[in-house]
Amino acid sequence: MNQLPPSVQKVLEGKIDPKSQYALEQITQIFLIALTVVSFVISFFSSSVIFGLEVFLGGLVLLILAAVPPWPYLNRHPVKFLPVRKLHQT
Amino acid sequence: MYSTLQRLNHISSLATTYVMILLGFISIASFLSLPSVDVGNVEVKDLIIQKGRLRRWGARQEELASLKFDIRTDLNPLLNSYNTKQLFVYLTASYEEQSTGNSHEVVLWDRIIERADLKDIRAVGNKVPKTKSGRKGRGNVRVEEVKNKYQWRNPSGTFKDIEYANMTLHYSLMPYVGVLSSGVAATANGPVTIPPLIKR
Repeated sequence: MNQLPPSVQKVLEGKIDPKSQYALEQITQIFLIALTVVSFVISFFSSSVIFGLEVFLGGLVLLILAAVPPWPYLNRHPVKFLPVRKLHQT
Repeated sequence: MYSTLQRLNHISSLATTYVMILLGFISIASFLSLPSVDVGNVEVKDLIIQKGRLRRWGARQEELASLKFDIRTDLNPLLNSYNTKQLFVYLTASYEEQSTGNSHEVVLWDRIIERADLKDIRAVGNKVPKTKSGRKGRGNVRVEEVKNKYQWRNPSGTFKDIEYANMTLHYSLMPYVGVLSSGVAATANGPVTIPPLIKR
């Protein structure tokens, strides 16, 4: 990644703040487990394997659209860096 | 979760794991909920033994049995059930030789029945109906006066030792995901006696 130009690096890095990172981790786990259960129930009661897999794919696309790009709502508590200080000369 | 690529990587690896778990659930649920089959009817109309050769290079003159039969069975509940992709039905004749006691089972005819939404363009997008019986379903096997597809020969070359044979129609259910299951779809009313050789 270091060989790419800085503008491309910025896009691929897509920084979000640490609180959102933690929240996203939890949400993806819970959402995917719930999606598995829901798509199995839907496929069993609609008696069609392919329909259940389509439901799973739809939920996955929703999750990817909401979580992967660095949206502004994921960047609301950015890390506060301290101002630049000069080092003490010994 | 610190960069876009890392989020994509993490989510896709979790998703592929959960898809495997989902497919596992589907295969277990369909295996436990297979519908039962009404056993249908096989009737042998005509059975003759003649001298002939197999259709291959270097085959010798030996006794071959040819037969004509009727099959009538309804496999629609099995074909339209949850996880079925296609059914493979095959007719076997099983018999025993009197002198040596060896038992044999030969396949005489087979057919592949695929599910409606794989083949029929009108079924795409529509839900496949739960049971469709009667003349319109794809799973009705009704053949009349059909000849055997594969030639029936005995390894010893002659049918002298054999008194009778039992005809059964087996099916083999192939799911979209899961274990293969099989069973009996139709039987004949009793054993079929093997007539003597027709001398020309």
